[in-house]
Amino acid sequence: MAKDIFIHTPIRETESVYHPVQFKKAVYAHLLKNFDEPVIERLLKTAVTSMEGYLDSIKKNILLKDRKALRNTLHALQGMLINLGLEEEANTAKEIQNILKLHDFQNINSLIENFLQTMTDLLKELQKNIT
Amino acid sequence: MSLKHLGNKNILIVEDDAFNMQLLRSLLTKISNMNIIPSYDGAEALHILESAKEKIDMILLDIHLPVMNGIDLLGHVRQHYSYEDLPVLIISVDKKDKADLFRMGANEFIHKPFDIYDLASKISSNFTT
Repeated sequence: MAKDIFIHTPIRETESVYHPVQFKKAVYAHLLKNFDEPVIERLLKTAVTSMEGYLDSIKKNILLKDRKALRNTLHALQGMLINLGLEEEANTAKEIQNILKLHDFQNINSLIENFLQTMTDLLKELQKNIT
Repeated sequence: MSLKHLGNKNILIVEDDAFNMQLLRSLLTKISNMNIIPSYDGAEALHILESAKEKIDMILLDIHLPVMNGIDLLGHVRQHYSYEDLPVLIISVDKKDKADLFRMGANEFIHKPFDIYDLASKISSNFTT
C-alpha cells in the first residue's frame, strides 16, 4: 500500500534554538529593526491574542482529529512566527503541516506535543510585562 | 526610504492574522502617508472594493483567508480590473504557487517575513503614477 511508504519516514523531534526566556529577547531584537518600544508593545499584545487563539484551535483540532483545520491553523501560526523573527519555530509549523498531509495524528504525536509546549512557553514569555 | 511621494493613496490590505495586519499597517504608516483599509477575509474585501466611495489604488492580498480565499478574490478582481488599474501584491509565506498566481493576474509577491525595504520597493514599482 502506498500509505506504508510514509510510515517509516523519519520524523525529527523539534528542538527550539531558544530557551523560553530568550524568546522575548529574540522577538524584540527582530522587531527593533523597524520599530520603537511603544509600537513593539502594541504589536506584542496583538501577537499574544492571536497566539492564544491559535493554540486553543490547535488543541481543539487535535481532539477532533481534524487534520485540515489543524493544517490551516498551523499555516496561520507559521506566518505569524516568521514575522516575529522565529524562523526555526515557523519551520517546525511548516514541517508538521507537511507531515499531516500524509500521516495520521499518531505518527506525529510527540512532534506536535513538543511544538505545543514550545509555543506555550513562547506565549508565557510574551505575556510577561504586557500591560 | 519613503513612499511619502505617493501621497495618500488608498491601499486595501487583506490579511486574516491580526498580528500580521498590524505589522503591515505599522510598517506602511512608518514610510508612507497612504490610507490603509484593513480587511480580514476575501468576501469583506470584495464588498469594500465594490462599495468604496473612493478608488482603491492597490491591494495587498494574503492567500489563505476565511470565507473567500485570496485566489478566488484575485479571480474576481481580474474580471473587472486590468493589471495597471489595480495592482494586486500577494502576501505569502510559500513560494510554490507563484507561477500560477502570476498567470492569474498577480502583479507581485511580498514574502514573509516582511522586509521594509522589499515592501517599499515593490509597492513603489507597482504604482503607475
